[in-house]
Formats: sequence, C-alpha cells, structure tokens
Amino acid sequence: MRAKGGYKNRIELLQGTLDLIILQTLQWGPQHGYRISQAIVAGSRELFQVDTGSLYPALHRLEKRRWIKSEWRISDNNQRAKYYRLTAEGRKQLASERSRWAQFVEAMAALMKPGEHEVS
Amino acid sequence: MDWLSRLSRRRRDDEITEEIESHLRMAIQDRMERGEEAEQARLAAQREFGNVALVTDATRRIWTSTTVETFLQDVRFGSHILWHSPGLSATAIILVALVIGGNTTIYSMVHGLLTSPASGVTAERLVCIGQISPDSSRFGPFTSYPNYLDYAAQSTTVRQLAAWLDERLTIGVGDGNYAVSGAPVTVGFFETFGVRIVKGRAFRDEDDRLEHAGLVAVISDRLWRERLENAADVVGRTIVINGRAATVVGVATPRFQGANLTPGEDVWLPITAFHEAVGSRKILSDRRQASILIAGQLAPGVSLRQAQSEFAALSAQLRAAYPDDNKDRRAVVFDYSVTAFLPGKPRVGRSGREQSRRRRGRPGPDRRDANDDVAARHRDRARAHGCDVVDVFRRRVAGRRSARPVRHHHLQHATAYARFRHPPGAGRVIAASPARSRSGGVSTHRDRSPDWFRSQRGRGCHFQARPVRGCANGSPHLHRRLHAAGGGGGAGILSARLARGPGECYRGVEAGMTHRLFRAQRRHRVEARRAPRRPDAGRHRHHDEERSD
Repeated sequence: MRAKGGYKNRIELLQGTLDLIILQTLQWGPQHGYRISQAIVAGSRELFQVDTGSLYPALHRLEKRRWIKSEWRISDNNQRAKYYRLTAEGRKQLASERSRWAQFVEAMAALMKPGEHEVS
Repeated sequence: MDWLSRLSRRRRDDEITEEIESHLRMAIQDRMERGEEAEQARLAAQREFGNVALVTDATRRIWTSTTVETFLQDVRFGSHILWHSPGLSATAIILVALVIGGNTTIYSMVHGLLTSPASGVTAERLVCIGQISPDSSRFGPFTSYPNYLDYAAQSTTVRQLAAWLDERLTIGVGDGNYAVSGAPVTVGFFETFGVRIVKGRAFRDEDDRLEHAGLVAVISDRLWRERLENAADVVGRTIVINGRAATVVGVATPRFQGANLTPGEDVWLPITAFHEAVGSRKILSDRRQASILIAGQLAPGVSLRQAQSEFAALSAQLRAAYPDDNKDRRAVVFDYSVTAFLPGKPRVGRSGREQSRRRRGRPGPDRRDANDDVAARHRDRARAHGCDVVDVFRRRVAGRRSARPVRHHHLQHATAYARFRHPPGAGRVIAASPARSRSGGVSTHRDRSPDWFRSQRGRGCHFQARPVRGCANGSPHLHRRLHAAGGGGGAGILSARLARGPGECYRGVEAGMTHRLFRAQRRHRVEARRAPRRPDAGRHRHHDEERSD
C-alpha cells in the first residue's frame, strides 16, 4: 500500500505532455491501459499522477490519429485486455515531440538559470 | 449506411466499457496480490479510477461528433414529448398554423389595399404624375392645371392624361339638399380609368364648354339609387349642384366611387365648365396653384422609366419657361393604385436591385448601354487619328460628385476609357474639354489641333489623351501589353463623359478627362502653389506639350 504522503508529492502532468509520455511508454512494446498508467507512475519515480479520466481519452485520441494501434489480447495474468502499440507514424511523431520537448527543456533551463546558461 | 455506422458505434462503445472493466479488474487483482482484501481492493481501485461513467463518456466522445449527437438527442427528446402528449402537440401545431395563416392574411389584405386600383377601375398600365422636390425629399401629388395641359399636349409616353380634383359639393335633388363628395374632371376621365357608364354616356368635349350645353354631370350608382330613387329617366334630369342647375348625362358603374381613396365620390363634372359655372375659373389658369391630380395610361411598348424620363424633361422645360411658378418642382411618374396619392414618397419604378446598384455606383443595363455608346465614340475618334485601339478597358459611372464643376448636380456621368496605341508622329492629343465648363457637362467638343490645346491651357483646359504611364488604370499587365503593341509609337488613354440629364435623357457627349486625372492635376496645382518653385518646375508640362506636338 502506498503511503499517504506519496500522493501529496505527486506532480500534475503538464498540459499537452500526456501524449508524449504515452508514446514514449509504448516505444518499448505493446501495453494495455492499466500497464501504461503503472509504467508512467513507476517511470516518473511515482511523481506523476495519471488520471484515468485523461488516459483513456488520450489513448483513443492517439489511436484516432493513427499514431498507435490497438488489439485485444490475453494479458500475463490471464485477463482479456486491449493492447496498444506504436505505429510507424507514431514513431515519427514521438521523435518530433521529443525534439520539441528538448527545446522546451532547454528554454526553461535558460530562463530558470540565466547565469549558468550564459557561462556555458 | 445508417445501420452500419450505428452498429460500429455500438461495438466501439462496448469495447470502451470492456476496456475500462478490464482496467478495474487488473487494478483489483494487483491490489489483492499486494495483500488487500477483495472488497477493500475493489473499493480502492474504483476510488483510484474515478467516475467510470464519466471516463467512458469522455472516451466515447473522442470518436463521435458531439454537435450532431446533441442535435439528434434534442430531436429525439422533442419528438418523444410530442408523441407522448398529443394534446400539447396538436395545440402547438394549430397555434403555429394560425399565426402563419393570420400573418399571411393580414399581409395580403394590406398589400391588396395598398396596391390595387380603385373599385370599378378596369384600365391597365395606369400611372400617376406628381411633383417632387429636386432632392426627392418632398413629394406632392398635386399639379397645376396649366402644367397638366402642357403635359397632356406634349407627352408621348403617357396617353389619355386625365385630371381631377376632389370637391365637397352641395347637391339639390327633389326634396332636399345634400352634401356629397364630387370631382370636377377632365373630359376623358372615365375612359382613362376604364370606368363603365351604365346609363347614359360619359363626358364629351363639348360638355366642357359651359356656353354649349350648360353644366352636365355624371352621377354615381349610389346617388341614383338613394337620392333619385332608381329613376329610369335619370339621364336628362336636372339636379342642382352648388346652386347651379346641372343635367345628368350618365350614371357610373355601381362599384366606382372615385379614382383615389376618398369618402366616396357621387358626382363628376367637366372641370372647366364647373369652374366657370361657380366662378372659380382663375384656379385653372394659375400655374402656381397645384391642386389637381393627374393620371394616364402608359402608351403601348413604353416602360415606366421611359415615361419618367420624358416627364422629367418636360418638367425641366416648364421650369425653364416658368421659373417662378415651378420653382423646386420636378414631375415624377409612379404606378397608380387607390392609395398612390396618399402622402409619402412614391416608388418611382426602380427595383431594389437597381437602387442598390445606384448606391454602389455600378451601372445598370441602361448605363451599360450609355457606356457602350461612349466606348464606340472613343474607338471611332482614336481610329480617325490613326491610332489602333486595343480595346475599351474600363467602364464606370461617376456619381453626382464629379470633380468637374457641374451646374446641374442631378446629372450623372457615364465614363468609359479606351486604350490605344498610335504610330510614331501621329497626333497624340485627341480631345479636350475646358475644365471650368459652364455648360453643365452637356456640350460637345470636336477634336482640336495641338495649338488649340496650347492656347486653351491657360484657360483651365485639361488634356485628355496622355501617356499610359500614370493613367487611371495602373495595371502593369496593361502597360506591358500596350508597350508591346506600341511598335515605336506610344500608348495612351482616352476617356469621355456622357452627361445624362434628369430622367436619363442623354443630352450630349462631352470629351473630357476623368475625374481622377482632374483630381491629380488639381492636387498637382495645389502642391505647386504651396511648394517653392524649383528650377526644373514645369518640365513635365512642357514635356507633355512636346509630346502632344
């Protein structure tokens, strides 16, 4: 069971980053919705909280854009689950989103620590 | 297909529900594997997941167009209410039908009342002639009798012009005197309106001469029945009108009670004879006394607009001949109806589209004709000077605000341009017109020699032909075409203005410059006056002169 304090420390996802995070998670292989949410929480060292109210609409939105594709399979624990996998188009999108994210991080870093940025 | 899309949507909805259920099952199983009780794990998983219905709905909306769905839901909901409440549905439908029907009926009645002719009037293509101020702000239905006589004598577009005026009369019949409405009318009044005379006859020319047969009258069917007791020998009977004996010569059709909206006329008398009989003959010779109403029939093949043009010209002539008596009055022709003479501006026959066109300054069909005429003159003129006309490239209509001082502000000018090229050595200046013309833009100028232009320059004359560079139409494409066609000569612009008098009488063609060019030259003069004179000032003008040679 998670400690109560763990929830308090969690950070809300930045708007518009959920798609990138889902694509990033799916690059390691097909996953179903529950496992994706688990992977995001674990991958962010339990800092990000994934709201299921956003996760499933986001998954279906990406599927509608043909960046991911879904199929029903039997999971490891013998449950029927809908697995999502990245399409070729989705991989391109992921690359593009990552590049934009890198720029964003760089710009934010420059803003937050202007002195260090100038020196470097 | 509808059923296919519905099936696909249902399958997607089921998948979403199953996916979310699967998520919850896995979350519960995870928790149970971590040692939680089944019930506790279920509650915790559901709490962590949130509102299942909300998530399902949000996910489903990704695939569906919510606007269409909401509309369909509204339709379904509305039809459900109507179907399950037949009383309410019937009431709503009946109310809507009643409102639509009532509005349509009222509109039809009002429209019929306003636009229909008076009862008993059978003639078609009837028009009325009134007077309007030059700025169209004031309208009066009355005209003077002398003006009527002039219109009747000269008009070719409106025939059988009839005039009348409403009068309150005292009529003595048998046992008593009665106040009735009546109208002294011109002789052809009943023929003009197509009013049938059921007994006796209508007026003849000789009836209008008092000395010939005395005063005669046509009476209404109502008067005949109510006051003369259906007398079979009514024709020829004598009645007293305003103390004068009058012989009844006819009885009008039962439905006819006057040509315009009146309380109901019962007696009609020849206008001249009546005024002579009662001693008010002066009213018929006073041109300032606008007291009579005029109507007539459009001649076959004549349009309302043509009649308007003619009457505008006729009234202009009268204004010129009798300026004091016809000051600020212009004849206006409009469609006849029983309410046509009521106060208010009449429709003068222009459609909404035409009015809108005029407001926007775009030419209607008649103006296009005018422009074509000007364009043809351009071509002829340019060719006569050895120029090869490329084509007429622009046509437009200048409004009242012409740059040229125009005395007759109601004139409108159709302007056309022709582009041309001319061989080397050919005269460049083709036409000119004094800018300060006092003629109101209606004079015609023949082509002049360059010397004439030079002599006129000091008197405010502006040349019309000029190099195409800087012309009103500054299209680079046009320049390229003209220079390519030039072949060693030059290219030019030629414009002319067709002045149009009141009522679209084309009174003359004036070779003049476009107002845009005029403005440019005026601006140039103003700037030249303001700016200190430079050593090279006037070079451009000389250059023009040289080129014109």
